[in-house]
Amino acid sequence: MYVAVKGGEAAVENSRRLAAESRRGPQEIPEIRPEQMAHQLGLAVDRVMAEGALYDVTAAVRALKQAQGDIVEAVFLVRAFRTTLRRFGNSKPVNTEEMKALRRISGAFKDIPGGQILGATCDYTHRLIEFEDGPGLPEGPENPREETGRPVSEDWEPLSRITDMLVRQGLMQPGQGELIGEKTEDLTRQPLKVPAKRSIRLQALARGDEGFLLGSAYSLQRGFGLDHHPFLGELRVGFVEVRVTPPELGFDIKVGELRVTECFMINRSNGTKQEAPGFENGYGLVFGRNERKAMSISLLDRALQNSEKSGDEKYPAQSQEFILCHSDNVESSGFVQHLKLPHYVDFQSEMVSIRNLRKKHRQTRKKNNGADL
Amino acid sequence: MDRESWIGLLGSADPADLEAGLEGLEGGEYARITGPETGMLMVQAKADGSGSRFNLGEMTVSKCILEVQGKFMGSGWVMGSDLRHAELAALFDGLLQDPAHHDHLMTTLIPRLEEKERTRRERLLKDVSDTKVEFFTLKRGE
Repeated sequence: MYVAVKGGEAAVENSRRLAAESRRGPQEIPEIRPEQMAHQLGLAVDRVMAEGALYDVTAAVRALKQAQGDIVEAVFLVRAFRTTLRRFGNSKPVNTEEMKALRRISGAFKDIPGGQILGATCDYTHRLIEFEDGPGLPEGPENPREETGRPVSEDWEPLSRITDMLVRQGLMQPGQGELIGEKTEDLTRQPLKVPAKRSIRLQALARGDEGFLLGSAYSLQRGFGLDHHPFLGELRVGFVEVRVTPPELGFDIKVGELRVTECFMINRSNGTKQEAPGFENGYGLVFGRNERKAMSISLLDRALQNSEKSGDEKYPAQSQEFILCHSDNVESSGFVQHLKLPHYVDFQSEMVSIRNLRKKHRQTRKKNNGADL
Repeated sequence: MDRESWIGLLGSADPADLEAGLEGLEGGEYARITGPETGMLMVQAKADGSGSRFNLGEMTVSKCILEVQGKFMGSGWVMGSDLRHAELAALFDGLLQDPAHHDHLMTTLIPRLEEKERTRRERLLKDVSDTKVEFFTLKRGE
């Protein structure tokens, strides 16, 4: 039971102001500008948009600034902001095959149709801090790229999926297309119920906490739920077009482009009596540049598909309830942090209860000791 | 260029370019029908890229419907919460439907927007070609 407390208005108000002061820091240091954050802290902004489940750079930057860089707090602010907005409708499903891919790699095949594109990555760089007076790669025009002599394409070509290649070779079951009239459930409109359909799971994972999903995916890899080494079929980062059919127009238009990360994780299946051995896909799609998260989602998607099929839930990362009910950092943060609120009356009653139990315990021991003698 | 294409172009344009497009423009009277207002679209995607639909997450959009020159219905949809952008996009959509403005805009504003989009595309495609890679595997023990 929660009992409200009163008092401390001045202290609460002052604490709020102190928080604002400490957020700003010394006045002689220039205030960070939103556009600096949008560009120079772009990956943090992307993470806030993904976990906030709202693609809005301006809102994510503001939230991140207000939260002093605390990602989970910024995510909370974005989620709160989205509740103030009306929903105009649904977009058409984004076509990731027509993604303007700025990065596309495969860990399974070295030659893939359309080629491998490294894009902007630190994967092949030493992870050393570039202190201002130390060595490092200068940014800007004084450090031009090497000329590759490779011709620049005129436009974007659709990139076929690696998984389709495996399907064509008969090594992977073709995916089930959409059923006509199939309803798309929405986590923001109805509470999460387990077992959940895959569409709900992919939505929950896309907005889940990166740290939780990463740790859970890692547990699978360490042997808690995955029997074979998974392979990165394909990882893509790029822009997808968002299209919508406004009722006043009756035809679909492009509203804009979102940057997303998409992952296909190939897993081996030794087959069953009914199913031939082959490969199975785990899929992950997430707002922004979030490779670690897209890969974690793919691993978890596969594990949850497997446990759905086999009914085998031996380890945490195979359990829908464990993964889906604990991956939302707004919920988990709220429940853990509510413990900071005054629980004075609750705790008083706990003390009374414990004192009574101790009394009884003492009496029982006395009685038993007496009996022993 | 059809209406669908110019609406897409206006929506993705830099609002400053649309604002600049107003200079020296004759006419352009309009009345607001809806908005401009900011809301959200639920962005949908497909599992495995081609399977069942799922809700990926929402995005902030602003939209506006205007009656332009008393007879053209202009519609503007833009990403984010820039209401002025949505309004300008709707205005130019209306004006582009007006034969009195269409040809002029098609030789002034639209080429400017297309040029910007081309520049962005070329820059991104250069990034791609600069970081395209051909991996080769080495046989061990040779």
